[in-house]
Amino acid sequence: MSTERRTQYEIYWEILVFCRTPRSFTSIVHRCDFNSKTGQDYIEFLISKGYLSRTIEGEKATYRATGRAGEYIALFTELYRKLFDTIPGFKLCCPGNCPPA
Amino acid sequence: MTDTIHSRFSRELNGFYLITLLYVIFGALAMAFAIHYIVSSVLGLTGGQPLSFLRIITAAISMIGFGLGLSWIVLSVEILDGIDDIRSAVKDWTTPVPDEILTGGIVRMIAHYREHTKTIRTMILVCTLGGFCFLALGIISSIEFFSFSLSSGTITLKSYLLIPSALLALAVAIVSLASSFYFSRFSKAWDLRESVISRAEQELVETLERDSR
Repeated sequence: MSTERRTQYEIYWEILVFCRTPRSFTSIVHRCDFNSKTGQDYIEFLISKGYLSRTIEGEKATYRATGRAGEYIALFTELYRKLFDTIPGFKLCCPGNCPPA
Repeated sequence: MTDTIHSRFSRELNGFYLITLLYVIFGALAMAFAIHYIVSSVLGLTGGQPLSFLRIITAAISMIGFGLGLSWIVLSVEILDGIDDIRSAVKDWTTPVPDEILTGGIVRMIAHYREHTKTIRTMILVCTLGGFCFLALGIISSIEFFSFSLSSGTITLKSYLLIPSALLALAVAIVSLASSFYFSRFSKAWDLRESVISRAEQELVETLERDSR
């Protein structure tokens, strides 16, 4: 994802979904497109919530989403899908024939 | 369900892409017309034609139109760039689209909208102003090539050559005003989504707080 403006909740969701398979710190930072300091803060927060687990093998640490993250991921997915399910969207139609937005 | 949301999302993206592309094309046309009007006003002066009030007004509006056309293109390209990336990614999706992929696309689009909300609002304004500028140019040109005699009640057409440029100016005006209308609709739909997200965030906070106990 690019450097577009995302909320912290969107970033948490993105990290958790990406970490469904074990990922290195570098790959998370690269994928979510933030600097190391910001990435570290987000990862530490998710670890403190028990949503992310850290495994250290030798010198390499990998991160994986835990079962507890499932509820957050499911709720987030549901909320964002609702945006297209319940809210009338944008349509290219003739002025006057458009349904109310 | 996923396919329905997927198709809605794709439709919205395609619609928005099309309007933004139209913005770029008509922005270029607007600039071309503005230059045409500026040049013809100046050439008229060097050709020994009298300096009329109508000519000064035309030149002034053309210059404003040129500036608006330029900012029109710059702003549109900025928006188009991000939309094109998202659209290309969505095109590569194979149905049924997994929930995470679809949600990721929605998040990306919302983030893109959030980042460019100001630009989109400016575009709506620029396009509306541009539309009125070209509407004025079209009307002024129409006045220039028609002469009306009060005594005989006849209308005389001065030059057939001016008709296409006046009609094109009117066409640019109509398209730019229509684009503003669609951009406003798009903006309204996404503003509503933004406000729903802000309210929904409370639920996410509660989940995070509950899990920290």
